Amino acid sequence: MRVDLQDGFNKDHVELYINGRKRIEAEGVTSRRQLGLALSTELEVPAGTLDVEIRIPTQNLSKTFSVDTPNLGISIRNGEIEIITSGKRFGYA
Amino acid sequence: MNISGQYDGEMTAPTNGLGFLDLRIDVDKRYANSPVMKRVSGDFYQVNKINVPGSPPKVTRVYRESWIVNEPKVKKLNGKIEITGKVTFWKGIHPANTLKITMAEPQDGVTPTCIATFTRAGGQSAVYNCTKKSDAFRTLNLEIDICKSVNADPLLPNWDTSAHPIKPAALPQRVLTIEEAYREAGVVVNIRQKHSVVDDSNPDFETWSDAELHNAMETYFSQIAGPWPKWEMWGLLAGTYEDDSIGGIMFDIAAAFDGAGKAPERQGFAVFRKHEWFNDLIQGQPANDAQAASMRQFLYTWVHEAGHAFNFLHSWDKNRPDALSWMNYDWRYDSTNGPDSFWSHFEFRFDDEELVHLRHGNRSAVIMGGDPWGSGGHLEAPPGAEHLAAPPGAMASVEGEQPVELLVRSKEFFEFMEPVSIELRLRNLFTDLPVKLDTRLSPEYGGVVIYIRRPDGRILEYSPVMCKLSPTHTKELTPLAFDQQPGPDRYSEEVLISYGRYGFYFDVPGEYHVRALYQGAGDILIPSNVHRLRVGTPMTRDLDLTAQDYFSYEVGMNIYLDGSRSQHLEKGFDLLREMSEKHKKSLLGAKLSMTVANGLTQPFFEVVKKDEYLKLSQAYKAEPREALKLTEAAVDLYRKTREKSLNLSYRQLVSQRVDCLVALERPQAAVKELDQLHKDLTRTGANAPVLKQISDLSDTIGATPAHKIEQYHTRHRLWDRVRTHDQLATKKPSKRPRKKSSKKTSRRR
Repeated sequence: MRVDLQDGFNKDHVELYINGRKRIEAEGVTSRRQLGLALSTELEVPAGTLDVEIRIPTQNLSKTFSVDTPNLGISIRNGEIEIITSGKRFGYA
Repeated sequence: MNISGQYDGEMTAPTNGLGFLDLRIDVDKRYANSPVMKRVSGDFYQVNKINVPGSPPKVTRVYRESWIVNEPKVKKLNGKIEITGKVTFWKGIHPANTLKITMAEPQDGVTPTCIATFTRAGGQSAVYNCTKKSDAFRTLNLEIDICKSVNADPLLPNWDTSAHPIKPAALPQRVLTIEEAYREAGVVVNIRQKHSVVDDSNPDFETWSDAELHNAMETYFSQIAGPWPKWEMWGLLAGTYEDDSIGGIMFDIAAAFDGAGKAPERQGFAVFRKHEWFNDLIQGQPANDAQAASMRQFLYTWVHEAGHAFNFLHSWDKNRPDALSWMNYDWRYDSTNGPDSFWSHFEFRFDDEELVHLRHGNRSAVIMGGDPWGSGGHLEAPPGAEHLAAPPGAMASVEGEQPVELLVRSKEFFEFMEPVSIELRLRNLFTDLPVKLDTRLSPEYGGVVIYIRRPDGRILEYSPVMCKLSPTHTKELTPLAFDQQPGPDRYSEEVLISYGRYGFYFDVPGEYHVRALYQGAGDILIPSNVHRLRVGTPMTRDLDLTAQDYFSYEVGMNIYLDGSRSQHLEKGFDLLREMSEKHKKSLLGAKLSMTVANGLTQPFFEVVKKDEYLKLSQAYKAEPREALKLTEAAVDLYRKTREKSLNLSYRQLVSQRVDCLVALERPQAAVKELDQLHKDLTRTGANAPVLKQISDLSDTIGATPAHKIEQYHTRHRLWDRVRTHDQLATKKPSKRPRKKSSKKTSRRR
């Protein structure tokens, strides 16, 4: 699964858990405004629906959800975590 | 025939030819598939005209400021058109202004003309006679270079809007290219014919970083040199970006936004041909939907990236996530509106707010190399970015040959807290035509405006603490023949810009850019180069702690006033004295010692209340001995540093010391210091006239009888006397035989 940390990150600490296991821990995550992207990474995950938890302690935010698509986009907008999922890979310009 | 488009023309009243107007009228349909924005906007230019005997005058235009009229009223009656509205300037404070445009109804085969009258509250009017130039509003030159690894057709997009089945039902069929997409938006894009090929065949090279893209732009972009801003843009068709999910990028953004570039920004972008978006790209008619979608995406990426260079943010960053615009992402739109909904509704255009920015926005917010990306004080500016927009005048640029050069220079590195001074130099660029100019270069006289771009990207106008009124100091800068030594063709002054009305301007470490605008007595406008300087970080914790006391009103005013013994500024004077002693081995200490010594060189009088009267009373006597002692280390340091950019400061220091030596009736010591200065400046390559002034002064002091020496002991600093001497010297007939001037006036670079 490809995980893209997209908009609204500003020097944030980000943790991502898949099926209860920490898969991403990143410091200083900052979105590049001219792309709408902070970080893009490919993760090996088991087939089927996945339980995902994203924690952003620097903004006191967290969210738990299920995903069954190969592409996951995570943004922070108006103080909330927003999720976009897609069968197609996200592209940026 | 339509009214809308770009017009331009000269001022006819109140002063014929003094101004020039670039006018954009957007009130009726001007082009197919191009919405009307109901705006009129324009840019004012000052026209500099230098009369040349026997030849046409030399004319240059310098951009001044921009304005807009929202929702103008258009009346048509008896074949006449009248457009009226309230003028809003993008920057600065202006009295209320109204605009009235009158013109005959356009007829086929006749170029439309109009009269634009601006009337200020109070009744004064400025009138411009304008002629239509284009049915678009702006013109851009786009240079596109191609990487060798992707140098295969199609290099540029060519999209038939009917080629893909997912499209708006009523979408007009047409073929869109970069040029056509922007023509519809209101900009003529001229793609330069020549495409350089960037050799990316090195086997160790795989993907592009921002820094490499920026470097490639600086290497290959034929228009990168010369003054910015300008309507020039660079696009690179490259292979793969370091993050392969990125299909295109406008990389020319200052470090504050995580970009690779430095100011000027928004000059270039790249499109990555090896991105998976373009896997199905073919030359010619697409044979299937995948090939059509690939070409559609190719067009989208080129237009989108160029849009960033016009200072567009993404749609969602402007609180318009549902905008059907070149600046939105299809998958972002689809995430809230349903699969394929973007391409089902997108009409291949920018949204209305973007069109207003592109066509009518403040010139510095739109033009490449103008305001930093993501700023501009416009609808396109994100919240909180307004402070990054440039004040009016900061983006002034010259069109045509410049008769006079205004050069800003200084040393490139200043220690933290070291007072920042710049040299402003005027130079006649003609070879056989004298130019008369007002030489009051201090911003206090209002003839020069200085802009400072701080490390955070903000551009501030330097505001002096004081405003001074005086008659103009006109000096004729004579043309310099090719066999002549530089000197009479130029005039320099050192101007302190550390402290002004709003405090310290260089109070944080980092990179600063300084630019000046010379307006003299108001009849000419000359922008300078952009001068880069750096302020270092405090080298010790002690120095860092001192900053708390240093960046204060008392110290700032002492620096501004060049040393003051006022009881109200005593704290600042004492701190500078202590610091000059503590840091005497550095330029910081040298400069501060000059400030303190200057305060000691002269007696100080203060107003005291005596009975019912206010009376001037001497608070401090001059202390020339102390001043000499304080600046000994500074002289040593300047001598050892031997840097040409310090010549003016060094000369000031010695002038100050000579003042003291003369006051102490030690003329021979003064002569010795002047001779040493002459020797040192000769070594650093000072101009012959400067050296002559020093040796003349040395001779004058050396030859003055001791009983007359007191005439030098005035409240004027020797620095001012050097200038007086300079003026006297220029009155003497030149011993050098003058070269006969040719009839043709030429310009030297």
